Amino acid sequence: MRFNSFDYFFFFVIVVGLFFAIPQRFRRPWLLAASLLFYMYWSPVFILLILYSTTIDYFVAKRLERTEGTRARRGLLALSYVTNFGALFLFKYYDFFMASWAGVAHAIGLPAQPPLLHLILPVGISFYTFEAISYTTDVYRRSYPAERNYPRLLLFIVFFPKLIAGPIERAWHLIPQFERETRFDYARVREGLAKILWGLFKKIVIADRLALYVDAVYNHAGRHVGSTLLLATLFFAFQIYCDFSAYSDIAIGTSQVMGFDLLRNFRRPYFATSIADFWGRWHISLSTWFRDYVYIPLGGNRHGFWKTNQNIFTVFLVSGIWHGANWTFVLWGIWHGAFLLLQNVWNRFVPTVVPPGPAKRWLQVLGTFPIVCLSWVLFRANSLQDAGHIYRQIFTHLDPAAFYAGSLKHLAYGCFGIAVLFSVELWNETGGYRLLWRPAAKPVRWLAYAGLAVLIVMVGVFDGGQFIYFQF
Amino acid sequence: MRRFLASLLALGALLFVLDRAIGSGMAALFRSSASEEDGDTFGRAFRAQPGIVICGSSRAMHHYVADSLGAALGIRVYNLGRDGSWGALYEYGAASMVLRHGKPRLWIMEADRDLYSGKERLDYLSCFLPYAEDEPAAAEVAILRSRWERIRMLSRIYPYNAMLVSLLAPRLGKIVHPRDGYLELTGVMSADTSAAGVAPSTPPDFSVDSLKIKYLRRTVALLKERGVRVVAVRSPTFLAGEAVRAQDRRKGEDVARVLGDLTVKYFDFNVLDHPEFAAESLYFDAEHLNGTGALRFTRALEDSIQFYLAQTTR
Repeated sequence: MRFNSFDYFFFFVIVVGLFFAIPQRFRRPWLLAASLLFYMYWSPVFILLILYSTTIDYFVAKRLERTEGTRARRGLLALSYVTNFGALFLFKYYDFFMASWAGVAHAIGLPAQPPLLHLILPVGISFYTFEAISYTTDVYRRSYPAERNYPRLLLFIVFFPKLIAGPIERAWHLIPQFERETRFDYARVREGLAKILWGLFKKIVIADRLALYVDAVYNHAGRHVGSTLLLATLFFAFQIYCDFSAYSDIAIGTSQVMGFDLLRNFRRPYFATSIADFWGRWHISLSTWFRDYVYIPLGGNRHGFWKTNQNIFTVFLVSGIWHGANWTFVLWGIWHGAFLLLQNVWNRFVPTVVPPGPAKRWLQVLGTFPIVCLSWVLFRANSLQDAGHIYRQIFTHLDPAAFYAGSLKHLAYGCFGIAVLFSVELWNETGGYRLLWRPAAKPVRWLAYAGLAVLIVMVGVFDGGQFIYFQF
Repeated sequence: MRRFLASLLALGALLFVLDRAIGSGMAALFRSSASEEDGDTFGRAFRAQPGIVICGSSRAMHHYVADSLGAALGIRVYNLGRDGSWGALYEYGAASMVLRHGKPRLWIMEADRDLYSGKERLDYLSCFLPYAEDEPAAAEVAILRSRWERIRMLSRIYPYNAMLVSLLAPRLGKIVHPRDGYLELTGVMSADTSAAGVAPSTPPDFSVDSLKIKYLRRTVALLKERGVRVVAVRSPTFLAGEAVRAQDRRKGEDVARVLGDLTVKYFDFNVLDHPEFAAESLYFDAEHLNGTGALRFTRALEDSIQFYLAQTTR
């Protein structure tokens, strides 16, 4: 059930309507039932996988709380890791590693034909696996108590707004909210609905419109010259941002309407002043997850400059692999890790010459954006060969005469969408109030709501595809 | 809660008014725009009362020089080719609508295997949305786009979705005016494209699509029932290399088989049998002839059509 579909619209109206109509004690079970149904809408059988891993995690966590011995505790944690990561590996990475191994073996002249499973990837598996892992790890660290109530733990994992593509929630943040009473709060509901509307605008009007050009170019990358590929890459930068942040906005908005707060996932990432800053603004719930469960356990910044950088690089390598079972994603992670490393070395050894201030800040923004933008080539390219071709073309063949414009109307709407997004984000970044969901004057708010709704119908792509991050 | 519901209702009313007002404006713009991409192409075709209608995708739109064909045959010809509309559903919608307003002598389908095989792309059926209110066939086809299409169609703006720029373009002078639906492509394809030909984009799966074949049958039956003769034509495609050309001819034989079952006369202009269309100077890109190529192809077609009409009239 896509957020940008009528199916979801009716699901939302029914779920939220009934949520507020029924007594408090039935609200949690109702949300759980709705969430399970939401997931089963895609593939009923994969709900068994969630139930299986959650059940293991439930008992592991309870046992962890009672157990004192270090070895026994580590064994229990390992059981949770094997259960969760095992499923993730089997469904997402097994074929990739086997095929890569076979490729290497073949290259050195060894016969290798490993069996491939060709399994369908359960939607949201990367997201709910990380949530489950964070839960048992927190219990292991004794930073969060084991949940006694199984349905509540299950609801934490399957809570429908964030189940498929995040934000990656933490038990300490979400589970206590399920224990609170929820009341219909006009201001919250209004704010939540406005977020949903803005998310729909970003997805339907900007992301899916840009996708028409991006797909036409990237799916036949070999036919296009550098100027075309550069524009498609720029468009993809905005497409993926609008696509993914739209999902987060709708997820956060949906939860907010029902009285729950989800973690923030984006903070105007293209205004980042460095790669480190970018990762503090892009997919924040994943960045913080890696910080807490990979970077800090590796030693964080506690063991000197070079060890810190090694840890950072490891985190980005893992982050690349998390995104997809493909070498393009691995290289994408390496790209970001390498540039972050470079930036750290620069900051340490090269003295600053530009005085701090707005000019420096904007220079940094302008310096960071191309690095991020060019990294998206690896993310979007259909293969490593395509990515190589695209980089070659971008840097050597910017022939404007051979530029492919596609349908001019798609270009025009795409540019219009980017302009609207840029204006809103700039307004927010420079400290303006948030036009839609801060208490602005009613006529201004209504004008914004109506304007967005009309633009969605006028310019939106109604047969657009799935959210990009669903594949992860 | 009451305050919220009241606000929601008021916002709904505001949206309703805006939808009606903007939708009416868009409808007026649509009817008056000279745009070929999103304008009132069907309306223009109805008014032209053509004796021959050409229907199909962008290949139809850019390959059949309607006025040239019309002058040679002494019959008014209208080209209803439309970018992306390469399936039988478009043929059905267009034929039903045209037959409601007149009766052409001949219907020419630009045919490839896309006509009846491969997964149907339903988004292009949006071109019928502006007519859905008045034309039952347009509504019948348009609602196939999605199961929520009926709900979307409640909006007055929706039928004109993403049309504003192309409807305004002619007023800004940014358009090449089509001639009876034919739109000339100027320029010659790049060396990169010509080296690749169309082979890489050829879909590997050509299993028959039941929905398409159903509508193809219905289209042919409908036209024949009204006494309209139907021919299918596969216009030239640039293909690099003999092997690819031979493969393309086999594709044409598949098309001939399917159309033969429907007793539709079929002309195949594949490059292997028609080497006069092998030169890359005739192409805008691998799948589309440029103005020179289109004119040469139309002239070649004139003879075939003239002969066919003479034969079937006797």
